[in-house]
Amino acid sequence: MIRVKFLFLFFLLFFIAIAVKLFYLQLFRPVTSLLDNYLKTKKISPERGNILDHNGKPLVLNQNSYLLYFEPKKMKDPKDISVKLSRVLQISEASLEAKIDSTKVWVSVKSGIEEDIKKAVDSLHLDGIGFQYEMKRYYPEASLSAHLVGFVGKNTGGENVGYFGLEGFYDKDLNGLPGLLETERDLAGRPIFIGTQERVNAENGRDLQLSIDKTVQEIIKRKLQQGLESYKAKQGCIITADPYTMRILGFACLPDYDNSQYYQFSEEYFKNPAISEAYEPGSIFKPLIMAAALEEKKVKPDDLYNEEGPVKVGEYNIRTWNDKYEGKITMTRILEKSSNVGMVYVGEKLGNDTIYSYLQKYGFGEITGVDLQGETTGYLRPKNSWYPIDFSTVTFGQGIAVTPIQMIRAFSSLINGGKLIRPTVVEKIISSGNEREIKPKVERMIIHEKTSDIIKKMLVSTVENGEYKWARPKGYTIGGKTGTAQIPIQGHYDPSKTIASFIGFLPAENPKFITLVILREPQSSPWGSETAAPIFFDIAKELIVYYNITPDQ
Amino acid sequence: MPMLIFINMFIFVSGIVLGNQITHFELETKKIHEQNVELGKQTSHIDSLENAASVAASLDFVKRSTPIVLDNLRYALNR
Repeated sequence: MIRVKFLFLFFLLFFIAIAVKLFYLQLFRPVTSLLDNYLKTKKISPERGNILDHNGKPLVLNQNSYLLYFEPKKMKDPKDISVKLSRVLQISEASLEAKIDSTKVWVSVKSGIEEDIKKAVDSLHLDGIGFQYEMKRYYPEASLSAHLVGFVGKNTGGENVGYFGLEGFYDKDLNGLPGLLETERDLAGRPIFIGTQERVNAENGRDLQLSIDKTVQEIIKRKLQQGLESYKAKQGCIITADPYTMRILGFACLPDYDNSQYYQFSEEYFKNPAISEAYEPGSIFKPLIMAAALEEKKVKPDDLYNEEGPVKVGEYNIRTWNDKYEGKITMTRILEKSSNVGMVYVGEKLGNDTIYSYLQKYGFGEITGVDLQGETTGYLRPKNSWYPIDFSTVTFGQGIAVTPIQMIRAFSSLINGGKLIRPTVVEKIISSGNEREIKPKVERMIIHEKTSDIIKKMLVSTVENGEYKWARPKGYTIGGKTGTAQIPIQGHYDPSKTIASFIGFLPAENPKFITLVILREPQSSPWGSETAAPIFFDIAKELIVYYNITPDQ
Repeated sequence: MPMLIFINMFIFVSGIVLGNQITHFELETKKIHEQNVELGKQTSHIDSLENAASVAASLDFVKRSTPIVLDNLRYALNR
């Protein structure tokens, strides 16, 4: 009996001791770190979606990356560690030593460390350093599509955010949703099997499959690079699209930047000039006005105009680009020789109100809705601020500021049967087991199919009978138009600075692609016919081979 | 009584063993995932135009072939 009482007393004291200790720990000295170790709640980061080209080849992927951190309290010889690490990380010893603050438990040193560097650091077997896993973007094709893709940077909270291009526009789709892991752990950090183990999986970001074909992209970027060097231009852009769907096949602007080293470039490089910068289009604008006049039945292709000399509008004299006049010429010839005075005549036939309404119909002054971050509207002044001279100059593409993407969209409507279509870069959004196709969206009809056929023929004639003979791929009917616009500087035009452009399509009957080439301030020649057009024909030759387009002549 | 103690001990030890296994498989899964990501990176690099261009340059294979038929259609038409 005494033994039982003794045992009872022993257990009673034992449990009282435990209760007192628990009371003390919970009320007087709560150890939060122990509680944290016991019930761990961890955010599961989703993987950012990949960006694939039209054929499913990756343009942007994720790669392993690590954050290197110090645990200064665990370091035995900080000096030795900073010496050894500085060689591998290419960071000065002084900077590393400055980070070793013995009062701190954990110090972040460098993020974005790649696999090979991590292995090199691991092989040093240093104490007091560790790696935290994170992911970063990998670009297998380097900066092939820099402006198009954009980049992933950090926001003020240190979270990944997409900036510019597709990364910016589709940030929410690409980013995914984080998951949560709540788990009870013992002192050694092992999960307690019978304890709480709750897991809400992260939803990884969606993949984007683009209409961009990386081979087309490589061709246009290479040709643009060569063109910039040959013609000593300051900047250039090329957009290639399917005119019937306005799916973008290739899209390049130079100079651009390296997405993986974006932080080494200034902000001006990030802007995509093809959607963010407006320019005066010059003569490539003429077919738009001509098509409007054909649609309104104000002119016919064979109507004659007497081109006898400069035309006076108010106090201004409007001349042809070479100040040569051919007398009676047809409407087709106006486009062939790119006659400014002829276009003024067409504009007069069309009327000021109709010109302005067509500018709006073509979508100038509004964003195209292309799925890229950073698009601007261009500049279409309110109608009440237009002077009579403005209605004349706009017929040959001056006095209006458009973005290249607006220009190619409007021009495509001339050759696709009259449909103004929203341009798109993404073809499909792919999430686990689910694909959503982004279908072309026809915004409105601008001209009838018959008018479209007529203007296409006029544009073919423009290429074949224009003022300049190019090395065209033989056997193919190609339509197109050159443009040379002077750059307005402080209220006047500087004749030495031009924007040279060419927009063309082939095969003319049923175009497989339309390409816009723009060069800013070419030095070797200011003319679009001598700079942008040869680039277009070089690209056309390669695309004919790539798409296996059969000759139609 | 000894049976209950034994069962409790068995559950306790099994819990530790399973906890260890969970930790082990968590680490293994993480490692395999990292390897998978790395392999994906290497595959896409090998398959890239960038790599093809650098291999071509290293083999001194830098001239591009432009089919002559585009300039001289008679070759294609056999005339």
